[in-house]
Amino acid sequence: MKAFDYLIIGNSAAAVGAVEAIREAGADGSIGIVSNEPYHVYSRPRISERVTRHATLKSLAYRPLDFYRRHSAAPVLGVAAVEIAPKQKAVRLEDGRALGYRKLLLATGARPTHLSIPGIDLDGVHCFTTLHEADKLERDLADIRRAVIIGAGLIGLQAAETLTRMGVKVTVVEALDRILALAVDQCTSSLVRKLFEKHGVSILTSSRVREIHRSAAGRACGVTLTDGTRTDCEAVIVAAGVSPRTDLAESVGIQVNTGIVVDSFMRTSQPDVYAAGDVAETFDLLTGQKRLMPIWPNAYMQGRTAGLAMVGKPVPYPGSISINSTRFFEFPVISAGYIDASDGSTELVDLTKRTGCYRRIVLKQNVPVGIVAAGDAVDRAGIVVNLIRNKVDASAFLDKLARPDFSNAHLPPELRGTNRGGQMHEGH
Amino acid sequence: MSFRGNRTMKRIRAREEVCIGCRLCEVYCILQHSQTRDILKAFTREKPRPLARIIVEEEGPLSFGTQCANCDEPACVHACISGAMQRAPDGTVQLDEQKCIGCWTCIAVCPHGAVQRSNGRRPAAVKCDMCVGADVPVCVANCPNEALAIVEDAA
Repeated sequence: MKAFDYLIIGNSAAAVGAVEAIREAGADGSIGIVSNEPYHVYSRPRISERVTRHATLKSLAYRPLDFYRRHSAAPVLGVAAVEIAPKQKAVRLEDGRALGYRKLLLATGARPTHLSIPGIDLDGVHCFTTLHEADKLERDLADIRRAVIIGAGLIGLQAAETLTRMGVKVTVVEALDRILALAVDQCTSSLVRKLFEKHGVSILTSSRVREIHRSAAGRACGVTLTDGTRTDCEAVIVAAGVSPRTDLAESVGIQVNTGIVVDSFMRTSQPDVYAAGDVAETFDLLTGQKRLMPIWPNAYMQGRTAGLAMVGKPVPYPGSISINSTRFFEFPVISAGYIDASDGSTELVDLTKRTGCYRRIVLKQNVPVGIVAAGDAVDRAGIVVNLIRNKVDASAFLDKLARPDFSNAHLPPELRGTNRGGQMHEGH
Repeated sequence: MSFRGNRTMKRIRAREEVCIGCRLCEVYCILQHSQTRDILKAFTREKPRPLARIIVEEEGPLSFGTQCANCDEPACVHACISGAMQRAPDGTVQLDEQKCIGCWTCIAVCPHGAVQRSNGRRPAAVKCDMCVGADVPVCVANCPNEALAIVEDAA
């Protein structure tokens, strides 16, 4: 049985974070990377470019094509891990092979949340989270005039924009009462909605799909909503959130809550088994609670934390704040931390005014806990995000925090940054 | 936490007590990152004019330059979703503008506000590159009041 000092199941942000940390820390043990996906590590958020411009794997590569070689990591790709045998310290693959490990990292990510809707398994019902799925959608594109997208989160809207750019008439169906409800505030939600509608996308909020219809050819050909309205289409994209792929962990009794439960060194309840990325819970820096936060930067940092712990140079994970940044039809939107000010204990500073440029900062007892910025107001948002991460009391510069040109010059001297000699708190 | 080993790291340090806010650092930075490297052409002909990678920040009498601090634990590198932002072998943080897709995640995480949006046709991030290949970055070399200096620190 081939054995690795460090065996990683998964081949995305968390895996790369771990590999880079292991080598940066000077460990020279063997590394194996197992993934059911057959590809060189790619930037998952960029799969839409596969549809819009036939982007090559090389251009979508998250790390250069010599990444595995340069890090002396053995990729075992296109084959799924099906079982963990903790006693033998081995992982069994679907092709019958077994790989031994000294330390194991579960970085299996998340999969699109399954919806129990009649017709969900029909041909023509797609997801939009992997290169394979993007390629499948691209192959079908010639026959798609109209598409229904279930879910108006980041993935659903990215799919909506992609298909719209390719000339498809898109209808987005969202169960909540506004789009991007978990990522941005009411005002930004409306701005983005108007933008999509301007580009011809129909958005139906507070709506659910009751059934997906089957054509004579056996493909998805339309949906009926719970209010009875019917929309015809040639494709349905399911983008109603993601769920952690915890199956492997659960099958050997590793503790799983909303995701795999880990401590601040990414250790699971099983000795020598670590977990990182979308499959693992994370520690919410602002609330102190454990929860899922399936975003790319967290996955990388959790992977990095796991890698350092696996080689015996542990640095505790400081916790995460939720950060999203994207462009919709070239319009930039950034949100971070807690943006819901409805709990009463929160104050609001609202910095609107220039058209299409919007910034809102949410504070608790004068400590900023969240920011939403849209349009030109995204510039230098990280300065505020850093205040959020470090729980800085902003009382001394509250009036300036509200300015659209808020900058380092408005901060007290001790907060102005390393390159000016001050004590700086570097990110994470 | 840092894994730079024994390597020393050059950083640009701003001294706000002597900065006079003349913005010559921005001018030289623009020139350095222009196509023509000709000051008149860079400012009058190049469309779009290159962005200065150093930002002179002002508030009342206070002024100082801000640019990439090449953090020991660079949040931009860790958060970059495309892999465009990378730590170079010399320890500096360098951006591959061709690889950048302009998602602005780096802007959301940079604690210094040192990453900017390009003003070009293709959306890409823009940041200080320490004047790759030059002994001394042009902002430091041309600061008339030594308000920008190179400091070296060991890891």
